[in-house]
Amino acid sequence: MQDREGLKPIDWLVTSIKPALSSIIAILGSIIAGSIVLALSGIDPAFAYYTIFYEALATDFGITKTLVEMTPLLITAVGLLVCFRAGIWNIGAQGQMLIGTLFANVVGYSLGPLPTPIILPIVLVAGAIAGAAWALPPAILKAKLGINEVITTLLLNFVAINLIKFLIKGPLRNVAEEHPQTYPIVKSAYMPTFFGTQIHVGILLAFVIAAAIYFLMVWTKLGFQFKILGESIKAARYVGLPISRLIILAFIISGGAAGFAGAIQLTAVMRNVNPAWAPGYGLEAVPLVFIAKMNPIAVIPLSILFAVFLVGTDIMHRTTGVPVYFIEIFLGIMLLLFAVSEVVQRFRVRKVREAGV
Amino acid sequence: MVGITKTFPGVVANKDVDFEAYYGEVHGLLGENGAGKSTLMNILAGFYRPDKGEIWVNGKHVKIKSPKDAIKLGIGMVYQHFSLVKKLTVLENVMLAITTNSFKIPRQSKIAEEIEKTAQSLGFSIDPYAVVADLSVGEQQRVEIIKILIRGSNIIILDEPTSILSPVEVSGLFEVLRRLARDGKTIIFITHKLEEVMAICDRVTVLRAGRKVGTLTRDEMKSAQRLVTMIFGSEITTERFDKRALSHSVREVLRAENLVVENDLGVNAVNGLNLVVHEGEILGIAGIEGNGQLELAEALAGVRPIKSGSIYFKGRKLAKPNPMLMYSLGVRYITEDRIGEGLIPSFNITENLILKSHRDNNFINSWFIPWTKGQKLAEQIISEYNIIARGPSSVASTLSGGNLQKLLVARELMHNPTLIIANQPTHGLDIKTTQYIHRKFVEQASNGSSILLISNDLGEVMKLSDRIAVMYNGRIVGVFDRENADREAIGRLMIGHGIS
Ligand SMILES: Nc1ncnc2c1ncn2[C@@H]1O[C@H](COP(=O)(O)OP(=O)(O)OP(=O)(O)O)[C@@H](O)[C@H]1O
Ligand SMILES: [Mg+2]
Repeated sequence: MQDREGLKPIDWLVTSIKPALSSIIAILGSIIAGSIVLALSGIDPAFAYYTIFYEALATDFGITKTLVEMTPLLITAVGLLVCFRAGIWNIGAQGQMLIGTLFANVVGYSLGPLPTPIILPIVLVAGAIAGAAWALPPAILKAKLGINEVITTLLLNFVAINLIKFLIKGPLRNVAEEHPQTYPIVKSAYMPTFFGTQIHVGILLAFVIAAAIYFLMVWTKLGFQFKILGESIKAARYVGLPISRLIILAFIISGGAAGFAGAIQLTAVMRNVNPAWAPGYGLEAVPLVFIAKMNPIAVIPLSILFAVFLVGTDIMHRTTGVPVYFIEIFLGIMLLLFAVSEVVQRFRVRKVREAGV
Repeated sequence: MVGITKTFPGVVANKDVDFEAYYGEVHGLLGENGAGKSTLMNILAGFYRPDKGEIWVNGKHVKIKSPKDAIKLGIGMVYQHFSLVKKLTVLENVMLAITTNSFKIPRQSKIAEEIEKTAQSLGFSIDPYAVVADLSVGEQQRVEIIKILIRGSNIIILDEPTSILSPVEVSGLFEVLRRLARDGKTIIFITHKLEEVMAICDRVTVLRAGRKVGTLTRDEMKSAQRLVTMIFGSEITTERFDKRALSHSVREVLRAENLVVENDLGVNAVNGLNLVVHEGEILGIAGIEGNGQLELAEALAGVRPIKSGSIYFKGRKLAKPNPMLMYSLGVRYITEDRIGEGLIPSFNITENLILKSHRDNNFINSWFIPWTKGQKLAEQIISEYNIIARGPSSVASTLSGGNLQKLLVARELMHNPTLIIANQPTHGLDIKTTQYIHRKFVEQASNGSSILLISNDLGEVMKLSDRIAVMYNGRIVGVFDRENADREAIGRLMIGHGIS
């Protein structure tokens, strides 16, 4: 009926780049803005970026560290992705991770020295269960009473931070140590590593989980229903989806992922918890998922990129004295740029949509 | 507009279109679904930029790069889906529309006065302090028009403005449009209804497959058949269904007893309604919009909870109807809200097609979604309903209004339903597609499906129905067999005359 031409390559390029446009702008823009900040503090930006990438990717030590840092980020991010896709703004991953880690820690020393293939999965699953449990109150409040989850999950972050401080200094304190900290997990619960490096099995698990979430969102009925719910609650009602159940399930998946990520960190890196431990993964994963545009594949390279910057700036800080908060400025600018370019784009899209019928 | 060409990835929406409208005329823009009408007007209103072509306004060659430019040139557009903020008052909406370009906020009382004056000059009245959500769609449309006029528009585009209006509101709108034309404004009017074109347009331009077919003056468009041929490129025979054998089935499919259903505001919109639908019949619901039809449809589809009363399906009382239960009983629901409820704009055709049936174990019996199966289904539906789209993975928001409607109807007619609840099923469809859907309905009914047809268009109801039930104030106030259906009597009941 219509002159219908096949999709030209240039069209294809445009249509495939367009969705990623604001993410690309955000990343490139923050690198540029970051160089201005660096230049203003009297550091050669080219040298700084070279150092960041070199240290994080080109040395054995750096690349190991990058992968280790990427692991909790990636797992938390794919969990959050499920929630965000379902239109649920869980920003309590930080608290869910803390609680998950602490519980995994307790399980990891109180079960006694069982063989690794038994105890390690138990500890990891314990982390996931505790993380999911911590996500449950906001989930139920939202599903049953419609209470806004942004507020409840955020508040529970503070509750979690203070709760674990209290527990570590009080009931769970390792009395043998001078500074407050918990008992370490038993040796057999340590995450195995490859060939004496620090590259551990948890890194593989992170990729497996990311693949599983991709599969969930793209190929399963459940993932499809999350997407319907996230796109339009009206459509979800029209279709008759079990909305409360989906909300609770999304919370459980993302809380569980955060707790699992914490348990991996515990078994692979930390071995016990001290009150100074304040992981940023749960917070960093939020902008990460947005900048990945909630795409389960894009989350992987972005987690690596985030990890590169985290590790690179950390090493650079130690060697050249660039302030550590550079990374925070950097991520802040990235999120800001992303938000602005999204709003600009969305505004145009919205106008076109209004017009579109 | 000269030589306008606009392509979207893979689709040429407009090709070398010349379009000309004079001051003081009502200019109709016709064409089948997906012909490129909305696109052409969106170019004029600055929402799309043409790939090629020139626009001349007032004899001057202009470049319209954004809606702002269009507004400056006095071009205003009323969309099918209004751009009013529902929670704000009429006055606040108008203020929003006129203050976007400056920091100076005009005095409220002055604008309120201006709203009242403008309304008066158009022959109606409107309360500037009324909240938009409380207005009827017809009134909201007037607010849109006033908004555009106060913004200083001389060229007013209306994209399918009548499809949501009741007949009374349509004649009210025409009165307004005539006045505006008399004042020297240019009205561009998109529609699929030829009788409306005949009633109001001074000239019409017809598009087909993105190209202009021609422009006719009032004298030239005397015969509807000529327009039809221009629109579709061939004649179409109008089918009559009213001669088909009446369904005399007495086997009952659905029964509602003393049904009470609340609307969103908590008012009983359906208020003690009794209704029976028989197997294989088309039961039309005639009534003026807002008499509880929406709430009735939603309650029967299980989307809206019932407050009291009962629903029986094939004699069995349903304890708590819900969409999943109704679906499994074979009840399908064509909602009037196609964007956001019936279809998801950001989903592609395949995803929208399996929106409901992915939960149906007869269709997909596993946890996983076999996308290739869905895609095949989509391909089949696209060709069967002649949906103009690049393919199964075209995103719904890139489809034209009519093609979206086809998709929605197609989905609900799949898998031989038992009962189809159809609310404004031909909303926004061109004549040919409307006929196609009508034929489908009749075909389904003769295969034993029942259809509950709710429509603002009394003509549509009378043409298709075996029985016609008139709904007024949340109740059925009269039921006619097709043979005894009398337009006058139905019309009187619709406005509540002669009801004790
Ligand atoms: N944003 C878009 N992206 C891709 N294709 C589009 C877009 N908007 C419109 N199209 C395509 O352009 C063609 C013309 O669409 P348009 O909306 O102008 O049709 P229309 O004449 O208004 O039809 P209807 O009567 O159904 O509303 C259609 O094939 C449509 O799918
Ligand atoms: Mg249109």
